[in-house]
Amino acid sequence: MADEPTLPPLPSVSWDSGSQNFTRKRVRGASNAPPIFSNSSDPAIFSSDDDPNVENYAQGGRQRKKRYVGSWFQQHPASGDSAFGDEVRPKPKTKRTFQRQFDSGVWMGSDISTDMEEIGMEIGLTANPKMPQLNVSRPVPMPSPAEREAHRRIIEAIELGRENLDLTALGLERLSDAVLSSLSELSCIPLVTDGVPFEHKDPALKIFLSGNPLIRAPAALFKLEFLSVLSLRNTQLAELPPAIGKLRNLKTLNMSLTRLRYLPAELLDLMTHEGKLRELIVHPNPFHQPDQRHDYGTRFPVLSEEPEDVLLLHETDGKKAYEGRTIRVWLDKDTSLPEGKKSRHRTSLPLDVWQILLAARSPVQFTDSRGVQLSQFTLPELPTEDGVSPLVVETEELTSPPALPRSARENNATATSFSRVPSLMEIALRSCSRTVHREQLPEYLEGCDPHHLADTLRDLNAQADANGNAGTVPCSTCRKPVVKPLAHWIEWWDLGMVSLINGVSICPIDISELDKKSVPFMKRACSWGCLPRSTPYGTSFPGTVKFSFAPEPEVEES
Amino acid sequence: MAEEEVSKYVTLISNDGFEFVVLREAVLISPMIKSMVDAKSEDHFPGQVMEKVVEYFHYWYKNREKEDVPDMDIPAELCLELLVAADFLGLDKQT
Repeated sequence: MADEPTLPPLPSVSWDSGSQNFTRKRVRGASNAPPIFSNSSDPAIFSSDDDPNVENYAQGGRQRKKRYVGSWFQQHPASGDSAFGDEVRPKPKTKRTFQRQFDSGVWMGSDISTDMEEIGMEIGLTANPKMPQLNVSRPVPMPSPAEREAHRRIIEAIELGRENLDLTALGLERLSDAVLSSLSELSCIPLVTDGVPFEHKDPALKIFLSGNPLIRAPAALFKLEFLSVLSLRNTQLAELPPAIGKLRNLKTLNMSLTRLRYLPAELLDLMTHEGKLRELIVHPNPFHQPDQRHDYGTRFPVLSEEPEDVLLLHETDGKKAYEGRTIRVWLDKDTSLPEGKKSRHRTSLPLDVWQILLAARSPVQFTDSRGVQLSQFTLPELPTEDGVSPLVVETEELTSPPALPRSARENNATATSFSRVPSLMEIALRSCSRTVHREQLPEYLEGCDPHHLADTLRDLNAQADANGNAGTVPCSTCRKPVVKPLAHWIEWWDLGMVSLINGVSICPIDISELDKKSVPFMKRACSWGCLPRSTPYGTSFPGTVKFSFAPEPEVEES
Repeated sequence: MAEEEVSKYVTLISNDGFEFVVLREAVLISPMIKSMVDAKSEDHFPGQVMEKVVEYFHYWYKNREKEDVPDMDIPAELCLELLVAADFLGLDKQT
């Protein structure tokens, strides 16, 4: 055993974690030290069987193995092993000199003392971070019992493939998007019977949220592509977000008995001949009312000449259908139907079609990209308390272009002279809306010099939450997504449903009811180049079918 | 901000020394620069922000009379800087 190679001596100094300093006294028991200092591996117990010397086994007549404790460089025989006396232990030197100790290479190449100091500094830093920390701990509201019940019903509907989702009168004040969005995975369980071919059927979701004190519509609703019936009747909704225009399969929408002051203009797109919306219940609601309305005369104008650039969809076939006149149903060419559907006498025309006529328009409220108002006219604010009485809003002459703010008038600008180039701020805001850190952006600008920029970014986040998208809303004129529209105005449209019974006759709605049917729609423009143009009263909404009397004498064509 | 009296162009200098020669007509949409063109003053933006601002000036000049305006792209890492720059230069108004 005397041939055993000599082991490197123990370091004469050691790190004391309590005093954060080097001490002459060696610390026994590494448990006091922080785990980063201690050797990560357990102390090894070695067998010396690799030294098959008979003396190892024959000494003292005891068949015992030599046992060593410690790492390879400072191992010593296990203390319980009495077979080896003190003569085997390395003698403690009376005077130790400081000596560099090379270990397994983890800290190779650097002095042990500087290593320790650096680690100590790093540990001090982690307790008090100097880097800016994002406040990510937001309060997560616990779902109310009503919400849990709603979640249960949603999950049940998904599991059973049920298309009707009845969430009426649960007392819901909010509905989280997470569970609602899982409805997009709902698929119908097809009917499997003899003689019925198996085919995939898109679900026609019907969601009834009526009778709940909902303050805003859950944004996940507008991502449910197959939503066909939506009832938000008798809720506390103050605004319907423009994202409703994404529900292309919506057939029925019930919005009565809410706090809505106006509807989004995108709803009109669902009512064109391409849209599927056939039933729209929006009364009673505290809608904004125009201060005056024009009588735009008959709803069936007489075509003075045979229309050239239109698609005739239907003619009453000589029958004296209405006031003894032949009535034509037609579409403008620019809103034409896809190829193959162009027939002179269509039979596939929907039985019910909307007639949407422009009745009035408010003045335009102009803002800049920060949201600072530039015009004198202000659209009424949404009331915060339960206001149920409709407000009367100023109107403007439809047949003239909208009045511009004073600053633009001083520059002799006209409504057609504005460029459609977005402002640099708008472009930057669109870029902000696309980043993954959109929700944290206001915190980055918190306390910076132009403090209103943080507010602008907060508005962007609120807009994103309401619409369930990145925070843009479409321009009503050019359809481009815009973060901060530069102009807002309200248009009142008369909505009426016209029924084509059996494809041969027309049953128009009662004209005397029109006054009650005028509905305000909020429109917005991405730039002042997209402002409303001057239009005559009673213009029909682009994309909707038009009705007219055939010119006198009647033109009969086969 | 350097300026040549009768030149069609204006030289904008970023705070790290990059010089951008820009069409005077395009630059004047910024009310801030309009007031700075006469008085000599330093610009506050680094070169890469200034480059995007100058790109916007030309983007505006090229598309100001077009009906269909192409989108201008701003990289995400510059969006906050350009937001502050647009606010400082007053580039938030209808033109």
